Amino acid sequence: MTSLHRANALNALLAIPVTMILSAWLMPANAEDTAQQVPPPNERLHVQAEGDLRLTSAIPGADEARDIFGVNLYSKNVQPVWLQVENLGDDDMWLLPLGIDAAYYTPLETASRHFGLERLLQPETVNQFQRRKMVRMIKAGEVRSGYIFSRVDEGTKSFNVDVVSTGDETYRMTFFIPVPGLRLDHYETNFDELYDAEEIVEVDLAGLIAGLEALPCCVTDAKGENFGDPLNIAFVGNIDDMYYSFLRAGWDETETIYKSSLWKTLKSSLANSGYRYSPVSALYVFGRPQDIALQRTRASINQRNHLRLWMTPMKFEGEPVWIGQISRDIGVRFTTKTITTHKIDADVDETREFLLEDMYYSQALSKIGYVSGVGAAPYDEPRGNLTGDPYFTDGLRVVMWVSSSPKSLSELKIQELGVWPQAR
Amino acid sequence: MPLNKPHSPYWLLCLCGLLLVGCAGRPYVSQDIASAGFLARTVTQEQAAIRVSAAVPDAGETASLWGLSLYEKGVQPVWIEVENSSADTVRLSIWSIDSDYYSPLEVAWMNRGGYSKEGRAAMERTLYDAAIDRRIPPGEKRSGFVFTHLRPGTKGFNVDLISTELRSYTFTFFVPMPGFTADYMAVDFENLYTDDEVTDLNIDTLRAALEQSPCCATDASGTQQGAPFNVVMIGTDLALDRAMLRADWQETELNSATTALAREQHYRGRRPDGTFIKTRGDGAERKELRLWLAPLQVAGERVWLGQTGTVVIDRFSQSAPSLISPDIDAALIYLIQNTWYSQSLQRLGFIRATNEVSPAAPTETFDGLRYHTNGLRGVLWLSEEPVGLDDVVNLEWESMPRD
Repeated sequence: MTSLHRANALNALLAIPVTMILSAWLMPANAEDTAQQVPPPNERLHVQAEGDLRLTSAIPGADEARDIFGVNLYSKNVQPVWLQVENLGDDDMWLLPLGIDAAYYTPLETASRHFGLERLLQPETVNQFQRRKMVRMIKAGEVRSGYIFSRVDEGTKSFNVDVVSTGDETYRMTFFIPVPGLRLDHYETNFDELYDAEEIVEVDLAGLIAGLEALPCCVTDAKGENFGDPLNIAFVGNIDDMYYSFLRAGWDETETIYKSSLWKTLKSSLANSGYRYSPVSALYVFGRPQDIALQRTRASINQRNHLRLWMTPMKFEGEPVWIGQISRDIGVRFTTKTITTHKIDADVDETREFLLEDMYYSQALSKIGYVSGVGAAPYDEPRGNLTGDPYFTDGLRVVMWVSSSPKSLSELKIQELGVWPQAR
Repeated sequence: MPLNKPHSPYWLLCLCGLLLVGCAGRPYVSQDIASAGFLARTVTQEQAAIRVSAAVPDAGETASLWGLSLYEKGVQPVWIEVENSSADTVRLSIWSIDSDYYSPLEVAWMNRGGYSKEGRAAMERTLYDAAIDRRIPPGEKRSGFVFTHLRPGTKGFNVDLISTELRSYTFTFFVPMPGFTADYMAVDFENLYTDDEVTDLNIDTLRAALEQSPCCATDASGTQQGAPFNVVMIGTDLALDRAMLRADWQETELNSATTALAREQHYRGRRPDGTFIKTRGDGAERKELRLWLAPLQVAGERVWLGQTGTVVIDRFSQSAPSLISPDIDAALIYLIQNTWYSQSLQRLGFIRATNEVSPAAPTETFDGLRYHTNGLRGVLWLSEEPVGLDDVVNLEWESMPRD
């Protein structure tokens, strides 16, 4: 450890809350272990604890990352994620960086984005990243910290951290860490305050079917006068499991529409540069705009899927029931209503089935079933959404039970709810 | 005067309109699929009461099917037929064939230019009708296309079906495409070893046998040391094929420039029996996996010695030389997680393959790779059937590496 590094560590320690200093103070005192501690990049620490695991994370912004690593990592699509793992148990723990980003970078890959081979072969070049990386193995009783190099997320950095222990425990945590620069939907809704206690209805299976079928067919505009996209997806699950599962399947949070972001979207769509957080417009159910808006990028901004969810006042076996809408953007076209909007795939059942598969391949679902409620519209007699895009549908809603532990494909149960899609 | 003025633009508009209709308003014509030549290359597989067939039209065959140059737009149609003789409805997961597949109307949108209104509607309807249904009721048969991303070479994909009776089926297809030979196709695996040469192992004798296998590859002459074998993969051929597909690794073409570095490495005088690559979506770096069949078997499952590394391309060089990262352990850790998250890993262990080599004093191979390692070799036991994240068994040999 160089003296420069030591000075940085000291400065950072001075800036962080007491709990952090305490945990640093409690850590094993032998030389090897102290050498593995990497100070956090800023004071914006997020802490979560579960069982024997205590996790702290912080994300440096672009400037902070440059100060730490000496190069502009963000410009090369690299965002360091700082983690501290405190293993309070008797079993060793293993951190799986792939859970944070399926395409995370190794330290050398990170270095190679900034330096040619000649510099790369000099040990100090890679060491700049290597010595700050997070180790995978955290032995019983240890505290370890360091960076995982992920792809850049603007605005809120949302990611899962998966840790397995030799005692067969699996820990799954989801972090949402705002990085200055962008405003996102997340946590703008306080889910506990959406409904008064007397409004909540606990339903059994028959009540769930009846309740879902009685919900409106479609979203509306702000005035509640015009019907738009069909509400063809429903979930049963708590908010934490829902977010974990969506992130695992590669869904991002989205930005609420502002003028500047609309400009970014337009530019990105013209340049095909893939601005991942293009905003979605507000659609209405229960007289309010969506509680959650997510999107999953495919090849470019023109090829992405959007989904919006609203929490219903129903609860099934204690878990909230959600209703939502999903669309597949297949291009951009010009409209008179919103200037530019996405051309959506008229085959909304196909998009619904895609989401179902996307969720069960991310091991998120325990059960699936279908209810009616949308009302059928055949291919030759399509209905229109609020921006004039036609859609056709068999009129069904897919109901997905989100699991709090991973379920493989062969564990997925089919829940008979009375109807099944006949075609696609 | 006021009467005259609008006239010339009006006629100009009409003329332009006529020209546009003349060249852009074509009707839509497609070919009957039943008579298409590519169906002669259909591959069929059966499991219990489910029969799945697959065929892939090449660029020319695709163009003559629908009059659309889909390959030029990066779209490769895959034809699937499912025959369900079971008593339950089965549901095809299109996601298993390509997790980012194109929807039929999306393909239509990509190709919308140049048609008359009726022509475009006919083209949309044709593609919509050509797509396969997901649901196959008992006793029935369905066939149609899935629009996948184009990949060079053999078209490999899984076809997963779930049944209403809590059962899932996975079929794995490799449909050869005209004009492409993968490196492993040139290896005669059945005759690599005689029966006497192959050692049969069980789970108790496996560890010792793996520890006795050579630490490292060699040069062609077998005299100079190459990179360590930092991974062992165990599984049936099907398990290995499926694992590579699920984790999105690509096969490589025989003698391609991409695998020039890999072909320097030898085991028993052989260059890699198969080299697979996985390229980053947002850059030129790639992961590489080189596999050699070892003369070992565990309960009939094959054992492969492997090297995995991260290949970095020199972005500042004109000649674009590449380098394997000195940190070979990082690539192993990636591969483990990659197979784990893609539901292919059933057992995981580590054995000691070499001594620890510190970054400060790296070992240099005959071809100039300077590497460091903790000396551990990952043993990845693969499953044909999907395994949940929580269900992977730790073999508890050497303790898991620090990083």
